[in-house]
Amino acid sequence: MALSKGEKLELEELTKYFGNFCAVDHLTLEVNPGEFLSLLGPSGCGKTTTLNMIAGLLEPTYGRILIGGRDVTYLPPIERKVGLVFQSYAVFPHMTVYENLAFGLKIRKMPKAEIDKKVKEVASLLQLEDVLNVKGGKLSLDQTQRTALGRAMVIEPTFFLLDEPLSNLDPALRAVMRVKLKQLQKELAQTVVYVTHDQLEAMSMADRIAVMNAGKLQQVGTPEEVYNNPANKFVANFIGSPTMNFIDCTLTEKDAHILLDAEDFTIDVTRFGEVLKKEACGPEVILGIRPEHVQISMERVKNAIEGKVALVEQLGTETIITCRIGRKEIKALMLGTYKVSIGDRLYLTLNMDRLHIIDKKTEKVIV
Amino acid sequence: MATVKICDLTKKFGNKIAVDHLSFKVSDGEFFCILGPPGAGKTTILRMIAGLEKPDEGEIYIDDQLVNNILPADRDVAMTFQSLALYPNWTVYENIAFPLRIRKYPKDEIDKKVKEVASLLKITHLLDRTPVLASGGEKQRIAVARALVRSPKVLLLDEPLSNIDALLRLEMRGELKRLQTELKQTIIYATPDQLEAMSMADRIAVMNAGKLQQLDVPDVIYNKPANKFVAEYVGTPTMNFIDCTLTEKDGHIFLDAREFTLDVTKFDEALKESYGREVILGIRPEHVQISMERVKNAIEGKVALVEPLGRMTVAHILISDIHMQVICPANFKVEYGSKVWVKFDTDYLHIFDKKTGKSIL
Repeated sequence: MALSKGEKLELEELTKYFGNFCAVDHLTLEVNPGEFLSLLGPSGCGKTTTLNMIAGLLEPTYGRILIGGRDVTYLPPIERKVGLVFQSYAVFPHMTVYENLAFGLKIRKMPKAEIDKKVKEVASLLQLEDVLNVKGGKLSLDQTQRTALGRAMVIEPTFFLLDEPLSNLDPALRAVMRVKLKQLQKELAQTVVYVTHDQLEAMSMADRIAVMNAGKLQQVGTPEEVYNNPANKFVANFIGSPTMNFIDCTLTEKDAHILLDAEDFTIDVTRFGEVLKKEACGPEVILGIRPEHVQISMERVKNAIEGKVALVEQLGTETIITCRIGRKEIKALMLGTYKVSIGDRLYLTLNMDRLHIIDKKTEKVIV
Repeated sequence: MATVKICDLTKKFGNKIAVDHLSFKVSDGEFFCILGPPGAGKTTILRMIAGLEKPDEGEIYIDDQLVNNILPADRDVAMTFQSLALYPNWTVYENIAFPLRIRKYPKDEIDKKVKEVASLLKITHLLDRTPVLASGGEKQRIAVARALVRSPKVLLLDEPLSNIDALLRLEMRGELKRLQTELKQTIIYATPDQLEAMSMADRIAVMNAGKLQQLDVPDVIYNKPANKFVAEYVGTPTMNFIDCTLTEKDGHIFLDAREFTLDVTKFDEALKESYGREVILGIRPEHVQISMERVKNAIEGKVALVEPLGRMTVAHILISDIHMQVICPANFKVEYGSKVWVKFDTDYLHIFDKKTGKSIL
């Protein structure tokens, strides 16, 4: 089938107001041909509004949408050739897979013979040939998903918009479907915009992730970039599980050393002195460190912070240990089964290469 | 505080057996998880313990007292539902006070208890508002507060975290566990999420299609799964499974997967009775090593997909048509389609009987 390779999608200062409420705020974003871009954010961040504007279901208040260089901002949905797949899949249960796939072409009044040819091509691509005569309601989840994708594919879209297509599945199946979806996208070299609130899904499938909050774009980057070099506290907190530890600190100077003072402990951050002096708005900062970058030891280690075990979560592959240090708490992630009990004394070492220092006022990451 | 014992509990809905001759005992102050996919019978078990459903067979004991014929209200059991079922036009205070009011507690005692439990669950600031504007996690805490307020003997929680954001779920998981440790409350917690069960439970009962698959502490469930169902359901990314035949040659025992063979002579004793049988080899993604160069005794494969998850990378490897997931370090870089060699850590090998699914090793 002459499945067109994906086309480039450009959003220019895309803005949407509902009354006084700004749902999407000057969003500028490029999605490259063949790229899998994930639009990630919590509910209410504007990701679904953005998706609806791209699909043509909502008219923007301001800004432009370009597909393959062509301005489509005010084109009706049917002329945009966008393949939409919804959270609920919306596969018609009383129609066969064949009828489901043919549906979009029928309403476009395509001749029967051509419909038949296209449906069979897509069915073969998605390995749905054996179930063409099965009713939508009788399909397995995997088949339902492929049918929903197939229905979007027959209209030969210029790119796909997927709205949380895996969120209705139980966790084990979700992992399998993630792999299948990504493989399919690679094989077909399609441009995909994938909307989700699940950071793990975004991390595992996307070439790049656009993180949104409160209508505003927070950061765009590869999964590694947003994970290792988050731009601000929101991104640092939203990506990664268990979440990054955040501890309020004050920057102080003593004997030519720069210290992070967390009241219950201090950390020498002289090595970041230059950047801190240049970038920090004031002495109020937040120390951020991911649980996997906290080392735990049962014996006293040099420069380690003394704490007590407050909570142990054994997850099989790994163990999360919440440690109490005075009034502060720090989570540490250890591989495998780590045997400690609540109340045990232990010593924490923070990996200084993976430490983040965040300005408390602007919430921007300085280090 | 109380113990719960159920013996041979069975419940049918028409021809469908929802719970099939189930027995277990929950200790005083235990955090007991019932884990399983939809349709495993989790909710039905909770409803029978609460008295909302009558068992067809078997007995339920709370504190050694048979409660089969005792009304729900007299069992001193509290249950929260997946839908939370908060009254939207009442204040949070009134919602929490409700179970005490219908039991005609004096006003000042109600006030004291509501405030106590609200402070425990950090929702004091919400007491005068209606739950409508509360966040998912707050609503969750209100529902738990309402269940806890009369200090029931047993607290039954039915998928309490399933409707909230991933981020909040993580936080609530820790909070619930902490609360239970503090209060020493007997909790029976139903969930389809293995991470929730693993992280919070003292013991886990893994259920499937109404039948108990395994009952043990999280550590044993993970490291010594009783059958293939448990091995597959618990752990993420999921365990790798490969169909094999157990063969013997020149005094050595081999797992023959056609694409490769594995010498498992060291497990001779355990495998003796299974020679010649069809088995399934199981190995967790963290127990497979991957290398870019040819290594002795390693199996050649091709990279099908790489998932960079931040603190680790999951590589999907195809060995001919066998699909495997391997956990690699976070900074592991490999191209789609490139050749790699994988090696199994045989100390962590599992072998299941193909017919019964039971663990042999």
